[in-house]
Amino acid sequence: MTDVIRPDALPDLLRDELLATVSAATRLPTALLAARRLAGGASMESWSIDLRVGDVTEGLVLRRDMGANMSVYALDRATEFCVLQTACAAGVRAPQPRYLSAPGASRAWFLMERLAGESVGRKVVRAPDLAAARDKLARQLGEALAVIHRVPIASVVAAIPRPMDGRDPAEEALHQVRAVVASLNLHNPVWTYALRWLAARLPAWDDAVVLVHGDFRIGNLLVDRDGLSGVLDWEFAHLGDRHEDLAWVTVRDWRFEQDARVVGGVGSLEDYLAGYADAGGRPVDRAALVWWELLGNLRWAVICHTQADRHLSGADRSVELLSLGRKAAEMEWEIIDRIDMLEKEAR
Amino acid sequence: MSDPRDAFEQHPSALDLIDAAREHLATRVLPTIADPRLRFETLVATHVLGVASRELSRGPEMTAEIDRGRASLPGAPASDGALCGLIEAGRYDEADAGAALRRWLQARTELSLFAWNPLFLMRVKG
Repeated sequence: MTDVIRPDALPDLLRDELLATVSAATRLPTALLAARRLAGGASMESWSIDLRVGDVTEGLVLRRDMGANMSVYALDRATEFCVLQTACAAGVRAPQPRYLSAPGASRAWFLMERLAGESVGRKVVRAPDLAAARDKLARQLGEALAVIHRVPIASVVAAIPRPMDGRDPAEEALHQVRAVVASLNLHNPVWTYALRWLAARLPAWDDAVVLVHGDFRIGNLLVDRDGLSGVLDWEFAHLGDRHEDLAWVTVRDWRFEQDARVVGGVGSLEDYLAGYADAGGRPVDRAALVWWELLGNLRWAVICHTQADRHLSGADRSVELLSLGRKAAEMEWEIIDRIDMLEKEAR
Repeated sequence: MSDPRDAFEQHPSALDLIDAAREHLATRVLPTIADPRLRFETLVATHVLGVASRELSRGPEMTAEIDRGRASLPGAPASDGALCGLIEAGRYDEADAGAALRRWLQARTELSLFAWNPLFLMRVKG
């Protein structure tokens, strides 16, 4: 994050909002030293921002709505800010949220601490200088999830999504995928088959409701030479089953082509689950983990089509979004392959 | 396959046009782009032209193969919509019917992947 920076690259309106909010919060003179748009994020715009606040220089990251959401289940920025505060206070390694836009902002945003590290997935799984970090990363990811799943939920419970009354988290997740499939209005036999197969095999649930990060995977995790340096992107946080979080990073696409390393392309399931258990995580049901991994593949395949629709509908013209519709075949192949293996084992 | 010398108005072919545009992006445009975001988007644009090219090169053959395979499944569904209806009605819940369906879904997905990302299949199938 050390590229050449042009402060004037930030839109004037956003710059004015930002300076007004920070100086109102701190009662100190505030100046913009540098701003640089960060890559990535199909639903969120992010900037690296350096501010002079009084006599102190603050290195920050700005997260701002782009107007179109990935999902109706995504949190707004004010709620994400609150969840992040709660998580940090509970000891989760995550960027401290610092300033939240005023209610009248053009598009909601917040500023958080800028942590060092790499988040780009293909670099995290391959960069030579992160080799030592990768050796311990799977274990650290397990440990981090154990901490997240112990975050006291009382202060966020009213603001974030939770399963509807009478549904357990697995039923809720299936319900949500079905709703998206219905909205896409496509006849996809892989989705129909997977939904039926999963519905017939709902995992047992022990009623333990935890804070689920909701997008805990390589790409949303900051890694430096010592390993995990921060858990980012809390917009899909909700209340639910720990297995949902535990399984997501094992979905093949988040291995960034390092297929043999089942956990995010960096490590083994054994190290990961040992980290979770050693950090006080509740017992893990392996069958539930597989169920949630399959659900994760299905959900990601379906989301890819909703992204393609953003282009096709004209809402967000983007060849990248459009191409995701074809990428869904990778997850669909995985779903059928995994179900086939499970069925053969069961015979 | 038709005889390419018979072409009148469609020469060069759609495939020729797509391949030329892809080659132009890959060899002339991409090397000049410094902005990482624009570079990534242009890489994606180049990739999707390759997808379209691979699909067009096998399109009619692939569609025929998919249709034949679907029609030979238990219940002989004539369309994806009909197949989804049969799945929802439990027609493939029984082990052998389920295995037949999965074989076809796998083959079909592999045809899509041939266009989208042939390397994916090489990687995951070893």
